[in-house]
Amino acid sequence: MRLFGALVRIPSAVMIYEAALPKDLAVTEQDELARLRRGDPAAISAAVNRYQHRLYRYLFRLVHDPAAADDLFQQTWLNAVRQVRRYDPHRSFDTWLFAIAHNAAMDLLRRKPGETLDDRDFPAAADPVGEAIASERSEILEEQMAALPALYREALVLRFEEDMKLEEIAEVTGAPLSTVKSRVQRAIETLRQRMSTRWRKEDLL
Amino acid sequence: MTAHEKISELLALSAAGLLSPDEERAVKSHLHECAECSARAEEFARISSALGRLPAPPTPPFLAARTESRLAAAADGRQGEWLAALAAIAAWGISAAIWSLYALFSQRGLILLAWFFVIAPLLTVPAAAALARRRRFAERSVL
Repeated sequence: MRLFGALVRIPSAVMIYEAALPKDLAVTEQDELARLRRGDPAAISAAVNRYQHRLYRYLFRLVHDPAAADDLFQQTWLNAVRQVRRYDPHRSFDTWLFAIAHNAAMDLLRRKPGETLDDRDFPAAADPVGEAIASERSEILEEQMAALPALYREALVLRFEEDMKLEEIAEVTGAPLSTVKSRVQRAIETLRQRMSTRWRKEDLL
Repeated sequence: MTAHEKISELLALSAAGLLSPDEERAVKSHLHECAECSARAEEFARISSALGRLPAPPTPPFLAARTESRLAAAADGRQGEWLAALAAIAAWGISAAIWSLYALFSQRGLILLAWFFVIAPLLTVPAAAALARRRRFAERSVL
């Protein structure tokens, strides 16, 4: 009976204590990671919400299909939750999560007809003349970016949208630093060659 | 390879902020004296700046909520599998205890005990394989 009383009192005390805490109390990263590793549903929910825009944007830029990006987003979290106990807290959570998303996306892209994951036979440049003229610079750029091979698109997204360092991009993609450098360089060079003619023509430079 | 060609290859990485401080200094110094590279560097800078400001694709409605539901369903499935495994182990343990007691008092019981510990566990192998296959199928069919 005494034990029963103690079991009832402890959760009540915790509830009162939690209710007294401000709702927007910042959770330290280590604390949140520890809760994630334990599979705490509240911590998982917070992480899914926090990463939804960034992760979805990354996946969308890779696969260019809202439904596929949506599926990949969910698959990434299913895999992440399954593997979270193996996550090394000394590593960046961002790169760990994006690496899982990268693997899921690559599996899909390998099966997608017309998509190449080989960056060696990519033509250095093409003339955009004849393509439909877009009214905004970002639309033109997005259009040209979509024409790049997936691995080049990915390098650009991780560098310019995710603001990742070279080492972080290499960790996410599992590629050597020299390969990442070469992908970024060739992708920007190709975009410059394609865009400069077009922007100049449309006076958008 | 001339200095001009060498620097020319570094311009894209410079715009991406991926050069070492030494390489960056060499590029800057070359740009002061080379109009051609300077013009190209300007174009790279515009591309870099535009890449960082691309409008984000709209996140699908209820993406986080739908993901959480799927995670909860997967967790329920895993919990169900654990409970089933625990129940099977508990049932096997109880039966083993009963047979052990019976074996203590009967010669025939010893044979049954041997059957129970050797043959019966082997019978669970197809069920375990089916469970593993079902799980692999469920993971594959998610995409």
